[in-house]
Amino acid sequence: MTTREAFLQRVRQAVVEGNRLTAAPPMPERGRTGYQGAGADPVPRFCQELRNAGGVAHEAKSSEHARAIVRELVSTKSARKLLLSRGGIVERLELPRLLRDMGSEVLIADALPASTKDAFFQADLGISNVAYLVAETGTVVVATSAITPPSPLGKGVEGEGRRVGADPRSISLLPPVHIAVAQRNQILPDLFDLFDLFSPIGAKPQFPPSCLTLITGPSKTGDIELKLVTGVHGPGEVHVVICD
Amino acid sequence: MNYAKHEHHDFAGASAQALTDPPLQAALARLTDILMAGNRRSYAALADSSALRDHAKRIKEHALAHLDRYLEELEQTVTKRGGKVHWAATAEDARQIVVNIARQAGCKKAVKSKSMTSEEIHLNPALEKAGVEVTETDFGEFIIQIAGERPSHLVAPAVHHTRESIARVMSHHLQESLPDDARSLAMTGRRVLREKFYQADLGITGANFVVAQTGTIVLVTNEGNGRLTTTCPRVHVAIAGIEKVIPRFSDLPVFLKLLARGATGQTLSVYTTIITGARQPGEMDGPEEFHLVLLDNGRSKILGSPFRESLQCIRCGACLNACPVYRRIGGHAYGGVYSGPIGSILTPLYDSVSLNPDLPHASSLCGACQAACPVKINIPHMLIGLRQMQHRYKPARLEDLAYAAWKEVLRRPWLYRLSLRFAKVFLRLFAQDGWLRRLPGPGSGWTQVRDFPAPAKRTFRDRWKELNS
Amino acid sequence: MKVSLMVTCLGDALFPEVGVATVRLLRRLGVEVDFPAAQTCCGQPHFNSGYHHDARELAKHTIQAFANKQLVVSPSGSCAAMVKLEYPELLHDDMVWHGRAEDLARRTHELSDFLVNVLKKEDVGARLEGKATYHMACHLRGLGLQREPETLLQNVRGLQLAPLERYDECCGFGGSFSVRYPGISGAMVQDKAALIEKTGADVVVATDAGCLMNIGGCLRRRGSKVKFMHLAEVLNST
Ligand code: SF4
Repeated sequence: MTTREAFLQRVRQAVVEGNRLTAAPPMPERGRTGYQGAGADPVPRFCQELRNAGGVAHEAKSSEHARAIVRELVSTKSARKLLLSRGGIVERLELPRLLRDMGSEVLIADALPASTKDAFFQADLGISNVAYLVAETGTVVVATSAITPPSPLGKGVEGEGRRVGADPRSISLLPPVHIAVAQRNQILPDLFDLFDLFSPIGAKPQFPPSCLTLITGPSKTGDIELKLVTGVHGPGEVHVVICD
Repeated sequence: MNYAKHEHHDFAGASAQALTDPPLQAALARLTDILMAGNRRSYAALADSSALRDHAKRIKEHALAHLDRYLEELEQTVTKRGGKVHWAATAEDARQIVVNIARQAGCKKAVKSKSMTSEEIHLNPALEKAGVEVTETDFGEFIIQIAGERPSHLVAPAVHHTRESIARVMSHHLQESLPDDARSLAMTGRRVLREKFYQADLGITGANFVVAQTGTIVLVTNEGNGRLTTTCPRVHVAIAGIEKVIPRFSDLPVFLKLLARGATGQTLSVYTTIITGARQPGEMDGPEEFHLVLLDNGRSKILGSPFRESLQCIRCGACLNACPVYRRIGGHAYGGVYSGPIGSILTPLYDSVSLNPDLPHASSLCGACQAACPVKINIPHMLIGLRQMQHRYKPARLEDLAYAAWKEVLRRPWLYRLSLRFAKVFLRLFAQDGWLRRLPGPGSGWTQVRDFPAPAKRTFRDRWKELNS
Repeated sequence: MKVSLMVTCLGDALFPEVGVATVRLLRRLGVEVDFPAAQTCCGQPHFNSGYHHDARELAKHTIQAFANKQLVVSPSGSCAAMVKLEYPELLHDDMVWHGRAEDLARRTHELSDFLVNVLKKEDVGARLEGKATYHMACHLRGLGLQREPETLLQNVRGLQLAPLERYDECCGFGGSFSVRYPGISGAMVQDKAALIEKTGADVVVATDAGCLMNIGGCLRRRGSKVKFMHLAEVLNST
């Protein structure tokens, strides 16, 4: 018998023995249990939860306003080396040009050769798109590849069909400051809504991206006398700019 | 060694020492006050929290009752996404598997994100012996590693340290003198560990959850070291106990909604990293290889036993924070990798029931653990179950005889009344206004800090007649 | 209505006045009370120490002692929890006794549960001058009686209730636990006593003899001015 078979055989036997002692219930259905939702307008709920988690929400009234917010953040942080995602709202707001015009060094993540991790490690600030925002928890969802949500739930981002997402992991991770740009219609009310996007189609599982990251506020540690210190590994500042 | 435990651990001695350690007492009080306030606040704020916790428990029950099936499904999905599954029956197997992966991929420098499972199998010394440098990257774990200690809490491993002692340990390790304020210590940690992430070629993590349906593993951290560990190095090895498997991707949010709320009162931890396979073509970063080591190490034995419920544990630490005993003695007193109420169950089960006679008794059975537990594990019942099991492993002793004799008395009302009368007459000889200042023998500990009530002059039974006249 | 009193072994031997107060209170509320003389101890000490075989025999003895079909009221959350939560499971595989265990479990009520949820009385017409604080016994958590005792206390005329910090933290009794680990148990009860003193109350109220002997014994040793009373005694004061 191979190691694998012996392993599984042991588990199989334990399952049988255990099921004799305890109940073996069927898969429970969740229904609406635990669904929190976010009320009529998910934006204020998202902003409140993000604030609770220590992040900063910026509501932009127009594209121009959004650009102004980003410009302001970059200049107050005196960030010189910027790491940006390709495509999505980052490009629609023409942020690469705007920031280059300000005199910053702008690197578009996927234009770099994969071997240069130095650029990732040296960046002062990362600007990413988001796949979704979750209002219930104030969470920014970034994904390494595009998510194709089943209709009608996902309206996706205009101009990109229904595909949303695709950001390298490093942008929201390595620089000390992370700015995420998003659109209102990317907000999902509840955490359940996000995971339900990946419900199997028929019997076929839908695989999520290689890495789906839920970011809820800035990096924190409480390991020193339970005093919260931000920015210990990930970004110490998280800004979310929500455009209309 | 299959389960990292101090041999001949002296629970009574270690707990007595903890009780007389004022900085530790202060740290424990702070920890449990803050985290328990969060636990209560967030369960109360989450609509339906009790029903959601029941639901989470049922998912775990179901998963464990069909674990063989889900493990096979998991193997298929992980493989489909380009990952590799390894089966580790014992801690030794798991160590060997990880060492081999490192060897084959030519890895020399490993970074680790906090993993109790790797702690359980004593991975670090094995890797170091094989010439792989290992760095713990959770800030608390890093402190523990450079101090040469063991974690004292499931989610706050360095809680027994103070600002000053952390500064001492880090200054010594880095050979520079560091100020002892939290911010600069943490920032020094960031600087030192960034360098390690930059150099690392192997990332080792545990897994909070593993999804059979999609071959996904989930890491929950607040610092972001879990993300760095799975982003920077070119090889990622995740080690997970088989009990971590849940059936479907859509079951994840049930647990995510509860884990951080139970542990700290956050709605979600800062980072939830959901990994399905290695880096895919066209992606900019992330590991080229993904390995999932599935660990048994005694779990199948528990799966087939009356203690199966203990495998539902999601390692949130809430039961430690809720436990009045943990609050007084801290994690190290328990002597095992896992401490607190759940540790008092896991250590005997993973290590040996007969070699850990004290832990199942280290509880007043107050039930605060179960009330705090996101999956409502009936910890008191399992502690009692272990006590019961102990009787089978040791020869009959005075205690067994005493309980049996006592029972014989209690079954006979006339004998019960007689014994009561005898006890009353005898004990009242030594009492002052109805209280004893000192008890002999096994009762002497009780009367160290409190008086003991002597039986009343007239029992309720005696007074019942007059109540009716 | 007619009920049987389960006075408990600690109540019988150490604090008979609690049983007396319970009987008087219930009678004042128009409930007839009897006292099945065969009762001794519910077997919880044996059960908690893992002597399930012994506990089973004592459970059967108790079931027999209360075989009269009446509701059973006990001034102890711990013994009520033993009967209600553990008996049915303990006798689960016994064809004859399992049903009887479930029957007794259904009929048994802790005092505050009986008053509030069966008699539907939140105000029992008690009066007691002074300032009290309330410690929650652990077994009330298991019974889901988080609210009942406090509601009853709030309605006692003349009584001012001072909130107790960490009111639902175990006092450290835990039966054999306090004997086996007196150091840990002692630290717990010392903290409890200090928090009680901090409230400035004249009296601490609880629902269980175990808590009272532990907390009361510690308060005495500390030379504290704070007295202790069982809920039944407070509610029986007029
Ligand atoms: S037993 Fe429950 S409370 Fe304790 S660590 Fe496990 S899941 Fe958390």
